[in-house]
This record gives sequence, structure tokens and C-alpha cells, in this order.
Amino acid sequence: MRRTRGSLLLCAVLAFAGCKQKEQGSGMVGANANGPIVVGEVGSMTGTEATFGTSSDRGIQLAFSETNSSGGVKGRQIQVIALDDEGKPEEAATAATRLIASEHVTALLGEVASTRSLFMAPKAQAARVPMVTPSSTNEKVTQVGDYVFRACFIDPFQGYVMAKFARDNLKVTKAAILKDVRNDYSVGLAKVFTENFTKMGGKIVDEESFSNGDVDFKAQLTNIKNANPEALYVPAYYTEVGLISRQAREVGFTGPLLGGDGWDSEKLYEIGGDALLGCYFSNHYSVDDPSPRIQEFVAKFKKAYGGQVPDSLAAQAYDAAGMLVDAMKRAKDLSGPSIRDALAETRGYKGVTGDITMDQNRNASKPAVVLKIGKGGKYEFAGKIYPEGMSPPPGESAVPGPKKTEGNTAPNAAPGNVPTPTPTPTMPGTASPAESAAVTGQPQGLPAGEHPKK
Amino acid sequence: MTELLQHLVDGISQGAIYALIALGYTMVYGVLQLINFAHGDVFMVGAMIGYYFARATGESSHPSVLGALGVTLVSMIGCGLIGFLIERIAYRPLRSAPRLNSLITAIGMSFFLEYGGQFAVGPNPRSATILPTGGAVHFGGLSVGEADVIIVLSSAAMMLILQYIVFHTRMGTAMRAVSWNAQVASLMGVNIDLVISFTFVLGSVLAAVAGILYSAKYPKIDPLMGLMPGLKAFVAAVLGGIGNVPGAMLGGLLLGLAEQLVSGYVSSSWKDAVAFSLLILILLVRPSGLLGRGTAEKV
Amino acid sequence: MNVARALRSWLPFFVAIPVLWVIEQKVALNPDFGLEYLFVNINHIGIAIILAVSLNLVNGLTGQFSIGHAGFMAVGGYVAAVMMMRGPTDDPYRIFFLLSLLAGGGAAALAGWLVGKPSLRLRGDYLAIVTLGFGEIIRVIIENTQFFGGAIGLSPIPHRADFAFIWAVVIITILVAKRLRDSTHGRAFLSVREDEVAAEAMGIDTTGYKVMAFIIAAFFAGLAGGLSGAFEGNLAPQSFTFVRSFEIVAMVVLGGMGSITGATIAATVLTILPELLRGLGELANARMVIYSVALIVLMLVRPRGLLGTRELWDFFKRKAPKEPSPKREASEALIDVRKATIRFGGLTAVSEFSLQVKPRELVALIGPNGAGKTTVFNLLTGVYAPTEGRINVMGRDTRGLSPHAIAHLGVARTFQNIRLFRELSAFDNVRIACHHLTRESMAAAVRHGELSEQEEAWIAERANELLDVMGLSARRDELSKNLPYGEQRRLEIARALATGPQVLLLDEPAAGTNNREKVELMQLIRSIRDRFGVAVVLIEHDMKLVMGVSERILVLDHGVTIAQGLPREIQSNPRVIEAYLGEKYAKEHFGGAAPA
Repeated sequence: MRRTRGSLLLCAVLAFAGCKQKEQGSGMVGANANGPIVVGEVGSMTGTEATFGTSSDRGIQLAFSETNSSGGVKGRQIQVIALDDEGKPEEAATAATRLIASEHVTALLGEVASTRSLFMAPKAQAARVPMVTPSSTNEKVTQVGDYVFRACFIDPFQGYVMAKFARDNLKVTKAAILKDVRNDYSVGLAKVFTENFTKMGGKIVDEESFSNGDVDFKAQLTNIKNANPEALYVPAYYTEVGLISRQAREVGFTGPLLGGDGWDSEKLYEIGGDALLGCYFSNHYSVDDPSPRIQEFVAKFKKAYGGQVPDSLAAQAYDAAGMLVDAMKRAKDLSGPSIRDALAETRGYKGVTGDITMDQNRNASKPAVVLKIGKGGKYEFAGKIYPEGMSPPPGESAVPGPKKTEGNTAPNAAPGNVPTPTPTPTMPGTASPAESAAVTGQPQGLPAGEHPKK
Repeated sequence: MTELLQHLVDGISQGAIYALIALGYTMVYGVLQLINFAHGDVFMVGAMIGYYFARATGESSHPSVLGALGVTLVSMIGCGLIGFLIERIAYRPLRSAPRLNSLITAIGMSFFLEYGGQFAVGPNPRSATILPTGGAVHFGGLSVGEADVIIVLSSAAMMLILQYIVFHTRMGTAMRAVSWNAQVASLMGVNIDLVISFTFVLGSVLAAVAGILYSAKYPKIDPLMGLMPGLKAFVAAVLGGIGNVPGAMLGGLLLGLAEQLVSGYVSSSWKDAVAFSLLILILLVRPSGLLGRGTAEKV
Repeated sequence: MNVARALRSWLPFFVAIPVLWVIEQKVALNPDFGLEYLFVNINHIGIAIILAVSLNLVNGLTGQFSIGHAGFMAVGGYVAAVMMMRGPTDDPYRIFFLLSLLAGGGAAALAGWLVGKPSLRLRGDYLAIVTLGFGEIIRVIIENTQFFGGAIGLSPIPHRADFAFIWAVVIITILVAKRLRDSTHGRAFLSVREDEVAAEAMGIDTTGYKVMAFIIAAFFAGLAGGLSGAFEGNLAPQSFTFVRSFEIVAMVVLGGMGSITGATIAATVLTILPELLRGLGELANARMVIYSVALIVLMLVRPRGLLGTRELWDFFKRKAPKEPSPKREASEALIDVRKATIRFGGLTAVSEFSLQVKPRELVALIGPNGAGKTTVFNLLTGVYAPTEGRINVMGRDTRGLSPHAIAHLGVARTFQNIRLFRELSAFDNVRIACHHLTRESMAAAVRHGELSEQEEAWIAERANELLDVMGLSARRDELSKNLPYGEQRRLEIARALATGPQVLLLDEPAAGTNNREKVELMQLIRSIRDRFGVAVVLIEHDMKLVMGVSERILVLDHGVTIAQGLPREIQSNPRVIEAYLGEKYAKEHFGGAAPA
């Protein structure tokens, strides 16, 4: 018995010692009115999801360093403490606790994966620390409480976007799905795509699945090919999509692959190559979008990170951080409740991933663009789709202007305002971008308050 | 019907890669009774070396047969060296310790290579073209990749070479002696350390080749790519009979086929479960593996 | 008297629980102190300790390689979580939570049985891979089943466990582990680790103990899973990967295999380490790299782990009446072998061997090397099953009986190349052999009541006496591997006697001894027969010893019994001489005439 108590004491001492050592930046909120504003970040910098965590981190760091060089918020600089959760959910919860209880952060950014955000959110909610997730798309995350916000779409919207694009623009009647069963993002998008596609009169002829980390998809693709779909929806991350597209062509499937914002990365074309030509994916923005806001962001990012082109995770994280800064500026003081209220009132925040407005569920309401992969991996704008109740701002035409040669693109040979559609012989009835422009739509997948009880 | 044939073709191709990795596993296990968990990561290092060397020498943009061979050779040398170092540093000192300790160290070494790789070169996947292969060849509704053909042929060649080494050279005899009874072998004048180092180097060289071929078929290289193939290759080695060279080939092919068939006809998310279920099944029903021989313990 | 003892065994709870409760309410949950982060770590440590100490039972104490512990944790966690999420929303006294937790533990224990039963006959590293595979299969199933939340996991789980509950279970786990380990069952586990063959021969049901260790360990892992879910409020399959299992194994190995203290310390250190390494700034991303290097270095520098097998031992020495072992009637044959034959492939090792051993007889089995003598012993003790013929021990047909069952019948043996439990003391070696004579169940051992103490005392006294008889009292606490050769042999005999046999099989007890020792051995064997009333069957090469001790001799050559009879007869038997020395010598020297 003595030994057990001894162990207990030993543990307590060790843990306390460890904790004591590492308290940095800890002033009580408001205690040091001229010191830096401490913001916490939780991400997966190591482990199997490291590439996503580091991307987001870069976006966040860039946003804050910009803020700081232009004077900070309310005259104070922003200091960000980023903690690695190794891709493990409990680690995310521990990191959040540490940031909240020991480092006394003013706000929390994170995580990319919905599972880990779900582990973090209750901590933030209980402590009344506003939390903004840049990329978690599962609806349950913001349902945890009113201190949890997200800067990205929720699953249902993107699934809707691509279903609509496939039906209306590409005139696809038969589609197949290949989803990542280990990734709730992928599962969610697939589900909503199916609902909407069938509601719009289409037919899903085959649905197959894989797990992230897989490299061989021949079996699934063979089955898919034999079901004869016109298009294949692959709402997964670029890490697998590249290989999937290659193998799809090897198997003899010639139709287009459709996807979501998880495709967005320069690595996609590096791995997938020309197998991706003529494929489409929905995204928050287009690296080629000539809008100065986006081009500035891309340029700054490349400069800061050795020429790396930002992927959609970096862009979303950048916007999440920016949104937070914007809210902090508007808030009457830097207490949790005030920032929270300011966040909830975000309207038309001009992010690189779109104009962000917080809806009543604290999810981002913003349009999605559909991009097509052209020669050399260049993304071509193929359409913009708005959520219900939102129309394109005056003066903006959904038709893109002259292309800039940025990022993973080859020089554009065609001058002029309207890009000509790249002829893809296997595509049934390709609509020109002009026709697909300004399509407004109503996200159908948003459940009215009900959610699967898990 | 073509669907089934396609699955079979894909299964053989995937199985050939498992077989290549399994060859290294089975040799090391035969000689040391050690499951070298780091073997899968040596395979990853092989692919990485291939990537960097191919990019540096421009092979990546203009692949050629000669260039591919050169890259492979460099990778083989690199991995051989790494295999040697791993054995020297981490396994040799623990030869007299309980087996579980070596297992732990092997796993620790595996983590070191994985996370160290992530730390050193970043976690992002990358891709380079090393072999001058084209796309797929289509005939009769089937599609067979050029890379696939090269992989299967290379695996078979490697197996034959290995068989030759093990059964027709002095070193091979020494390896077999050590695998049966190291103590007695050393009394007979066999230099145990040399034999073990040689085995490790040989296994690592094979892993390097596997890495290069793998990246030709699946051009996505990242520091964690070796974990699963490594485990699966171990399953393949056990399936065929650990310590048995043709067994490793057989086991690899069977595993590849099983995975493809399950992926095709059930669901790919159960793939990993298939591999481990097969393992459990074979260990319960026939622990010495399909081609292995059982050994009774003398009381 | 009983009340006092019951109090003593339940005392830890009466003291600890209120203390834990107070700490939780006043310190942990008090927002003013701002100690949430500290307590999150403390709770994680608690769960790690439960996992490590429970796995220690399997990996450390029983010596089996299991690297699938996270799988059992997952089973327990998910069952408990599902129950809680579908149960009543209000649970003020945590009764339903407790039920859910136990259900989870039970499910995990069931899983432990399902996995353990078929796989525990596999050799070390194979078992490791099978358990790894099982862990992965569990994870795949969870990820693919919507009922368990699939990839995104289960949430929200009611937050019913915090510092008090978690650490109460930690204390329970450590107590159970400690009490089991200190009991005769604990020694049984150890014997399985040390030498399975010898353990079986000493009457320990090795497979049964291995499965039991698995089940108990799985149960506690399941509890840990349930606690984790209830604490975090969430459960996700990514938490139960192979990496998690490995981390727990690392704790057991680093702490020292079999040491509960070691496992506890290692669990604490390894849980805290990543958090401590956080503060390294830029190097924070190298955390995992540093961790893996640290692991490798520690393995190289201290392969035995921090504490090896050391533990603090508590004995209670008390007088208790010794129970005499039952004796059989003097006339019936204890061992009755009828034409037993065994073939290995094409080789007939023993052919039509017959033998009757009467009580208190001294029989010797001799023959040139490779004659099949040890094989006969293996047949008698159930290590081999005969291809033909029958073997009866104490009137029972031994076909199908495992070695430990035959040991229970009253046959004990020593081994040709000494199979002591090398890492254990002489005292422990003998005590283990007493195990099968005890009646105390594991639950009783954990309760640590009166029966436990009585049995421990009885075992201790018996062991001491045997060591005394063998002249080993001074060496009682020495590790058996450190004893001089002759003493090791005597210890093995003492151990065999401890099982309370009617027949003692000695396999070359004089090997490696000098003349003086051989004389002592002769006297020893006779005195053993006289004092303990056992029959002795002896395999020996030393003719002087054989002739001096035996009442009857059987001679084997190439598996065939070529002669049987009194020592005098055997000595002059030409076939025997021929078998030992060769035809030529026999003709040359004896040509048929019998030497004196």
C-alpha cells in the first residue's frame, strides 16, 4: 500500500514538474494589457497526417505575421503557440487543455480532422474560449457549442456542389463513387453527393471504398469500370487521388474524375500526371483566380515558404486566422464572450477562400468554385456555385478574366477573356464555363437540426 | 470473367512486391530469429534514395534503362550500408538478451526511420520517375502495366539469385548452418558476425530493389510508406514458411491475390483484416508455413 | 480474528477512496487552481499504469509476447461507451457507469479468451504478430461499423470518470497484480515464463495459466478503455492503433519484465516524456525521433529494464499444521507400461517397452547413448504420446493426458540437462512445485484472506524442509542459475519431491559429479526413498552408482529392452556388455565367462 501511494506521489510530482517547466506566455487574460495576445493552435505536425498539419500551420503563421507587421490587434502583437498532436485524438484534447488552462490562450485554432476537433471542442466550450476550425467539415463539430466556429464548408455543401455540377454542367446520368472509408470527410461528402445526385435524377451505379494510406485501387477500379459510369466521384485527399487517377486510366476508365477541396495541392499533379486531365473538383478558391487578394496571398506564401504553392488547407487556415483577427478587432474587448460574439457576427469577411459569413450554426456560408485540370496540371475555372440566399456580389461576373501564370501552371497560350473549353472526347456534352457561370444553388444536404446519434 | 482475371493479374503484381520484401524478412528471421520491423523502413529508404538520386541526375525527367539501373545500384549500396549499420548498432549488442528486447529495439528502429524521415525531409509525399515504363498494355479487356511485368520478372529473378546464394555458395551454407544452430556453427569455424552482417546487407539490398520497383508502380513516396508493406511482407513470409525462400515468394503471391480478391468482391477496407486473418489461420493450422518444415523441441 | 484480517485486506480502499474523492473535488475540478493540464496528465498516467501493469501480467510475469493490448482496450472502451450513451442521462451515483465499465471489462476479457485460447501455443515472436494482427482486426472492424461511429468515433460520451475513479481503478489494478504475484499463482505464472517444459512437469497447467493471464490482462485493459472514453468524452479508432499497443509494451519492457513497480514507473515516465519534450521549440517536431532513440538506447544499455524482476517481497511467517499427502496401498503397480512403442517418422525410438514400478522400488534404466532412455521418461511423463502400447500411471491410462495432469497423479522427474527456473531463487523453484497441491483460487489470492496466508505458510514450511534435506538451506535465496552444478542437481531433485510424488524419475543425476559426490548421491537416493516413501526410477551411466543403488535394472539398446533383472545378472550379461563395449571387446575379454 505504501508503494502504491508512493507511486501516486511520484507521478504527481513528475507531472507537476513537467508542467511547471513549460509554462510560457502565461499571463492571465487581461493581466498584462500591453503584452502579446496569445493564440493557441493544435495541429498534426508529425505522424501520418503531418502533411496536412504543417500546411495549415504555415497558413496560420503567415496570417499572424502579416497582422503583426501591420500593427497587430488593438495595438498588441499576436503570439501563437502551436502544439503537435501527432495525429492522435487524445493528444489534441491534451494540447487544447494545456493551451487553455496553462497558457491561457485567448482563442484556439484547430484542428484539420473532424475527429480531433471533436476532442478539442468540448474543452474550448467549457472554458469559454472561442475556437475556430479551419478545415473540419463534419457537422457535429460546431454542434458542440456556441463557442465553436468553422471557416470552411460543411460536408453537405460540397457534396451538393459537385452533384449539381455533374448533373447540370456535365450532363452526367450515371456516376460511381470511390470514397475513403477511414476519413469522415470523404464519407460525408460521398453520402451527400449520393443524396443530391439521385434527387436530381442521376443514378449511382457503383460505390467502392478504400482506406487512406492504400496505394492499390485496381480491384475497386476494375469493379467501377465494369459498372460503366460516365464519371467517378472521388471525394478524398490528394495523397490518394493522384494514384487513383493513374490506375483508373490503366484499368481503362476514360471518364472524368470528380472531387472536393481535398484534391487541392501541387502534389496532386506531381503524382497523378496526365491521368488527371479533364477532371474536376470543387474548391474554395482557384490559385489562378486573378483577384488580387488571392494572388497576393499565393505570392506571399511562396515567398515565405521557399516557393511552395499553398494548398487549400493552407488557404483555409490562413482565412481562419484572418477571421479571428478580424473578430478580435471588432470585439469590444479581448474576453472570450466578446470575441465569440464578434465571430458570430462575421459577415462577408474577405478571405482568400471566399467571402465568409457565419450562418446561425457558426458554419461558413460561402460559394464554391469548380476547377478543371488542364494541360500541365493547370487549373481552369469551370464554375462558381453559391449557397442558398447568397447571390454573386454586384460587378462580379462568374466568368474569369485573363489567366495569370502562377503555381503549377504552364504558360497560357490563349489570350482573351473567355477560356475555351478543353476538348475532352469522352465528356458528354461539356458545357462552356460561360454557361455554367452564376449558377446559384440550394444546399440540400443541410439537415434541420437532426443529426445521427453516435 | 475478365473482371476476375483482372483481379488475378493485379493480385500477382502486388504479390510480387510483397514477395520481394518478404525475401529479406525471411532470411533475417531464418538466421537470427528476429522479426526485423525496420525492414519495411529500409524499403522506404531505398525508394527515397531512388527519388533523390533520380531527381539529382535528371533521370527523373529523362528516364532510361541505364539510368534506372544506375539509380537502383546507388539505392542498393545505400540500403546495404544502412542495413549493416542497423544490425551493428541496434541488434548485435542484444543477441544474448531476451528476444522481446530485440523486438522492441527493432520497432524502435522502425519508428526512428519513419519519424526521422518525416523530420528530415518532411512528411509530404513525393514522386519521381525512375523506370522508363510506359502505361498499361491492354489486351482482351485486361490491362497489364509495363511496370507490373518488370516487377514480376524482377521478383522471380531475385528469388532465383537468392536460392543460388543460399544453396550453392559457401556463404549460403554458412547462413543455413547459423540458422540451425549458431553456437555449433561458430564452433565449426563459421564467423557468426560476418554471416549475420551479410544476411542483413543482402536483405537490405533486396529491400532497396523492392523500393525502386514499388515506386515505379505506385509513384508516391513518403517516410511512412514502409510500415504497412513491411507488416504485410512479414505475413507473407510466415505464410510461405519463415526461413524458406520460395516460401516467401509463394506467400507474397497468395497474399497479394487474397487482398485483391477481397478488395474486389467484398470491400477494400477489410484488406488489412484479410492479411492478418490469413496469418492467424496459418499459424493455428500449420505454423511452419506452407512450405516450411516443422521442428520439434528436444526435451 | 477474521474481521481484522478482512479489514486488512480491504483497508487500502477504505483509506484511498475518500482521499481520492477529496482531491478530485477540491483540487482537480476547482477552476481557481488552474490545474486542469496537470490533472489531464495525471489521469493519462493513471490509465497508462492500468494498461502497463495489466500487460505486465502477460508479457512480464508469464513471459508471453503480446502486442495487441490496445485491441482489448478498444473492445472495453467501445462496449462501455455504447452502453453509457444509450443509458440514463442522469447517473448521480455512477452506478450505471460502473456497470458499463464492468461490461466493457467483461467483453474485453471474453475477447482475451477468444484470442488467447488458440494462439497461446504459438512460439514467442509468432504470438507477438498474431496479437498485433488481432489488434489491427479489431480496429478495422470498429472503423467499418457505423454502430461504433465508424472513423469519426463515438461522441459525446457522458463525462463520468475523472481523477477519483481513474485512480481508484489504478489502485485496484496494482493491488490485484501484487497479490496475484505474491501468491502461489504468481509463482506459477513465473514458472511458465522461466521454463514451460519444467513447469508442466511440476504440475503447472501452463496453457491454462497463459490463457488466464491473457483474460485478466484483457479485463483491465477493457476497464482502461472505458475509463478513457468516459474521461475524454470521446472515443476514436485512431487511438487504438498498433503504435498504442507498442507504447504499452515499451512500458513493460523498460520497467523490467515482471516488476509491477517498474511497470508503474515506466508508464509514468513514458507518458510524461512527450509532454516534457514539447518545450524544445524547433526541436519539438523531433519529439518522436528523440523518443524512439531513447527507447533504443535504453534497450541497449539496460536490456533487463529498470528493475529487472525485482520487487519488494512481503512474507508473513506463521505456523500452520502441515497436511500429509495421501499414500497409496503398497502392493499395486504405480507405473504399468505395456509394450509402449514410439516412432518418429521412420525411426523407432522405443520398441515394445514394458515396465512395472512398485511402490518404494529402486529401478535403473541403463543403456548406451541414444538408446531411448530419456524418451521412455518422456513417454511416462506425457511429453510424448506412444504410437503403440499402453501406459498406466496410478491405475489410470495416460493417453491424452498432458504432462501437468500426470504430475498431479504423482509422477515427478528431473531432466538430463537441468531445467531449473534459472532466474528464480532456490526457494521459489521449490515453492512453485508445491503449487498444484494448493487449493486457493486466484480470486482468493486477490482477496488475501485467511486461506491465502495459511497456504503460503504451508508452502514455505514444506519448501524449507526439502531444501534442508538436500543440504541447500544456506542457498535458499540464491538465484538457481548461480548455484554450483552439484547443488543445481540437488535442487532439481528437491523441486521434484516438492510435488509430492509417488514415483520419482531421475535423469542422469550423477552426470558431471565426482566420486565423492556420487557416493553422497547414492546415500541421498536411498534416504529419499526411505524418508518420502517414493519409488525411484533412475537413468544413469555410472555403473558403480547404478549397481550400488538399484534393486532392479533394465537395459535398453536402440530402443529395445535387451535385458532385465538383478544388478548381478546384468553385470555379467554378454548382450549388455556387447551393447556397451562392442562385440569385439566382449569376445576378447569375456568370451562368455562371468566376471566377479
